[in-house]
Amino acid sequence: MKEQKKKKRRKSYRKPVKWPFLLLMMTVFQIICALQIHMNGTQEKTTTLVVVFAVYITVEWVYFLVCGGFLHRKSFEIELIAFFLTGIGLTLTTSVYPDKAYTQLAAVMLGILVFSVMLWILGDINRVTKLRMPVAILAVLALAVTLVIGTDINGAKNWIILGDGVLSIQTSELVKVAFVFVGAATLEYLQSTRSLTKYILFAGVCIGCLFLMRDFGTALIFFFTFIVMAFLRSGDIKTLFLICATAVLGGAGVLTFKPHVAKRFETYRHVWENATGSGYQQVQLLIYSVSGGLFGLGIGNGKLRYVYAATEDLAFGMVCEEFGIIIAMTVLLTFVSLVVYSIRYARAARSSFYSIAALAASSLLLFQAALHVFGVTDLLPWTGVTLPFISRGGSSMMCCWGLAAFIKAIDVHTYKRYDKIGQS
Amino acid sequence: MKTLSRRAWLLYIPAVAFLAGLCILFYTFYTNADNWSMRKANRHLYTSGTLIAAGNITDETGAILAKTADGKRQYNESRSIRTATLHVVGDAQGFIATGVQTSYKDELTGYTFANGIYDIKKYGKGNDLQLAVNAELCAEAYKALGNNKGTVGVMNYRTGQLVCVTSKPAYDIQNRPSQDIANDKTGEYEGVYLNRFFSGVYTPGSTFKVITSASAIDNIADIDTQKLKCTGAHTIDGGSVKCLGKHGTLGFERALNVSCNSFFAQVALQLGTEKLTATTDALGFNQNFTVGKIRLAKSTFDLSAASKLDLGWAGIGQYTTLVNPCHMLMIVGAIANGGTSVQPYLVKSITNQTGKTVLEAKTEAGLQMFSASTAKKLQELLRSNVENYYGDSKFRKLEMCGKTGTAEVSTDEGGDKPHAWFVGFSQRKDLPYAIVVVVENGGGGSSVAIPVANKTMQKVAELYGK
Amino acid sequence: MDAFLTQFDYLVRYVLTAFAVFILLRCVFSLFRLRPRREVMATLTNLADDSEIEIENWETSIGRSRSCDIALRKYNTVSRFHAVLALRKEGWFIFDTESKTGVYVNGEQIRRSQQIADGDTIAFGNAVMKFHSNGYGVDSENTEGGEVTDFTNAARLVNLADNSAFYLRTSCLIGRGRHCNICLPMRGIEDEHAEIYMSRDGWMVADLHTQSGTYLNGELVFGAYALYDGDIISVGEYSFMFRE
Repeated sequence: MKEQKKKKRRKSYRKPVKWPFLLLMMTVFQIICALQIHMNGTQEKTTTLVVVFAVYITVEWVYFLVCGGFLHRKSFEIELIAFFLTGIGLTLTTSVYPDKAYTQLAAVMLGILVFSVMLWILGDINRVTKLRMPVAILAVLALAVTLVIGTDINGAKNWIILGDGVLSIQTSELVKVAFVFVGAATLEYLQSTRSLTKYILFAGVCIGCLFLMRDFGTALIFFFTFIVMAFLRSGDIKTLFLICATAVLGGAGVLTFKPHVAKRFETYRHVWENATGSGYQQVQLLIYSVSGGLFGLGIGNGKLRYVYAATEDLAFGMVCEEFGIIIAMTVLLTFVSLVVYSIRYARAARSSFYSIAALAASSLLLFQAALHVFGVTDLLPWTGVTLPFISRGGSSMMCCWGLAAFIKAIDVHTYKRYDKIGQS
Repeated sequence: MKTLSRRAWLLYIPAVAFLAGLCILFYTFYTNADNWSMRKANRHLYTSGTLIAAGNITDETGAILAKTADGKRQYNESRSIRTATLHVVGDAQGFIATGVQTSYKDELTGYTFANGIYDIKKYGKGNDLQLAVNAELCAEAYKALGNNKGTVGVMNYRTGQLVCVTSKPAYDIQNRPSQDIANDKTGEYEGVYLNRFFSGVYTPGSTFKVITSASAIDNIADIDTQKLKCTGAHTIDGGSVKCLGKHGTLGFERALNVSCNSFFAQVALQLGTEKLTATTDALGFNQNFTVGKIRLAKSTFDLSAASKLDLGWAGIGQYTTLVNPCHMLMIVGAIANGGTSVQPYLVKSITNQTGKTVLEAKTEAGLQMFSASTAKKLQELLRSNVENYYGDSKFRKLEMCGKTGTAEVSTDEGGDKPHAWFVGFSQRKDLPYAIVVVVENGGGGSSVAIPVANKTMQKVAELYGK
Repeated sequence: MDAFLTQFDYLVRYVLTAFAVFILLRCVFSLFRLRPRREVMATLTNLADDSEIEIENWETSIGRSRSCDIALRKYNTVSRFHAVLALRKEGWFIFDTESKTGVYVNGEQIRRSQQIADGDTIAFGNAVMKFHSNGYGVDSENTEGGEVTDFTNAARLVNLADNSAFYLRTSCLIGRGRHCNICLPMRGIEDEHAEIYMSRDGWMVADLHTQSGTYLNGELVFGAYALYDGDIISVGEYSFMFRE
């Protein structure tokens, strides 16, 4: 009796979610969103609306049918979360910036493409090992190029704009994926080259470039990710403590000797006093977030959408006002679950490369979400980073999906071939 | 890999920290929601700084005092009613802090944390709010104040319904003379944003003798038979408490009738600091009262540093004592109601957008201020004041009880005129109303305040009498 | 239609919230609960004292340091970080991670990495281990395109001596011969000793006319017996538990 019970518990405890039902619900959710946009008339071109949502829903179904039906993958939580959050972002963009709906759709498709390609690349550990060095060089080059020819938007010189604004790339976003890719390594590599010097050098150059671009938010994210990865690689708390202390001192030094940097953070905890000046966006976000209530006002009924950069820097507020605080909080909870999942699976990954990469990727997403949400609500200084998956933007969309691939790759069952090693 | 997974455990720290952050964030949202959503920058509720999403405000009879129409806040058609109810209704910009449009902002817009401002968007307006006041009565009382500043309040002492609250100076809300107010040098608009009834405090003057009497009835056994001598002033420790006339030897009732300062200064000395303070404490001095969501200014009575002379002055309502008119009305109401005060209310009911009543004012007993016997005795004394001294002709057919007050605010000769007070109530069974009148720098209580009280009470009788 | 629209508008916010919360929380809780299976993928037998070390990870570090997965603390000829044992697509590999004394597979020093097979002897300094792959790491190119097997419920024989599991496919020979699926090089066991196979009635065990015999739950097997979950099959000194 007892044994039976134990067996039953064990069985239910390992079962991943059934995707067809959840995907159906998600489709209904997105159709309702589209209907609401149509009814509120925020997207005037019905064709655009229909095309965007039809294409997106089709892509979802194709992906799941291929992976679930043809490739026999079993767990789909990560993709479900990624698709759901991307759907929310797409809904907001379609509604708030009707002209940019197609661009965002293209970005989402690119993101999913990046995800698939990354999964394929990560499939072979030998390929990954060979690619690490070229990726590292490319990443540094990309940042260096941005530093030289980059364009200054909102005080951070982190955009490369090609062909008169036809194509604009935020290299720092793309480098995030490379940063994780380079930082992770197999156990055999870690044990043969036990010093962190090379990695510290690489990270230092990346973070330095970002600092020079004045993209402090991204620099902070990189630094946090670096600490996580360096700790996972070496377990050397003393060195890391030293690095942190140096960074804090350096940061304090920058703030004292470069007052214009400190000025960017002067509204911290004082947004209400600067409600019409530098704290304007945050004040608007706070007002409209609570105006939405727990259930939101419905898509298109909000007022935050008229504030500058509503779906990028203020994405959290948009979700709060139009989708409601409950959904916003649940969305944030998913980032925690990704980290927990990575921690749980770290032991069973095919190589320490996958463990480190997934842990770093998930904590990067968590940290970025934290900086976004707590920054914009004035609990932390505001750095203007985007909310993963939801904020509008092609580069960030590709980055998020690329990072999701790392988390996905930690599970052996993602790759059918390895699932079957062990049969004799 | 085992080592690595053990290291990975450390990442639970940021995960938990993030969760804690979410809790803090939710808590901040929850606690600040009312405050933030009601900010003027919220364009769901405000258009160029004016609250437009609020529901209707009506008076007791259902007459519209304020409503939202065509995206604008509109008020009663009658200019005199708009002016007289200005301080009760308040303004949409929030200048008048105790107006219901400001203090009941949440209720008027119908904002809730769960629903946000969704219902306001859906129905195009907020909750409707019915006030307890009668607009016509307010207008009458406002008119009765004439050219003086001051306040009039009338309360049903059985139910606590505030049927009249008016404060002067006021302005017509439809066209606020903002220039005049800003450049005011004559003092015409002094404290115009202040509702004197809720937020003003005044020296009580002779009206305080009612309280001294209450203390005397409770604490001095032979007060009824005591005869004291008035020589025009009573000397204490070198100083003296002056009286308006030489009343000669007189008893308790007569002393209250003629409002003899010497008599009550001596009574106060007999009572002593402790007993007088105990009585005022029981009446709620130095306490915070609220009328619904509106906070009253605190009445103060403090004898901790008082000399004997000061005690004498305090006994006749001078010294440092300050009384809030609404609090005074509660005290008088308690006397009329047999000792127990009732909680006054200004908002009669709140109806939400779907027509459901979400708040209904109920009669709530307040402090037990006097014992029943003391209240009975005070009723007789106050009735005697009107019957034997002011004259029933001053209050035709009203069976009024009351006490006037002339509160000296300036010690210099030729300084500001004293505040004129009247507190009282009607003993008619069909007219359970208590009244307080304060006329700032109006002069003598009986000459200035009584006519105002009479006019107001006559209107009350006309409206509610049978 | 208008009534529908107003109802839709009113209900939609609750519906959307309910859907979103359901979908996301379902995924979140699933991610919170999912745990990888713990499988013994291989074993290392220390030849000095016959103690067994179970390998449960795809990569395992070996060395004298405390932070190694297999900490050989008593052997001073083992480097602090000596070697890594890893399961790759092609099979099991041993990597020498710049150790001082080197890694030897079947007596030969390896350069940097070498693929190892079941039964190989690996020496780290003076620590000598015998490697048993537990069915993992066998190249399975030929099974490409087959159904994915869920191991938790697959039929298998569990060696009671070391708890290693052997997964059953269609039939399985037990004996001393090298061609047998389960090879038991011991005296008293014949070349082909017993067979376990799938029949219409489920899994069966058959004794292949041996002298010492095959025992099922302590009873001598005559011909073929049906197997049930938890049965114990004894062949010579070995005992296996059948799990289904």
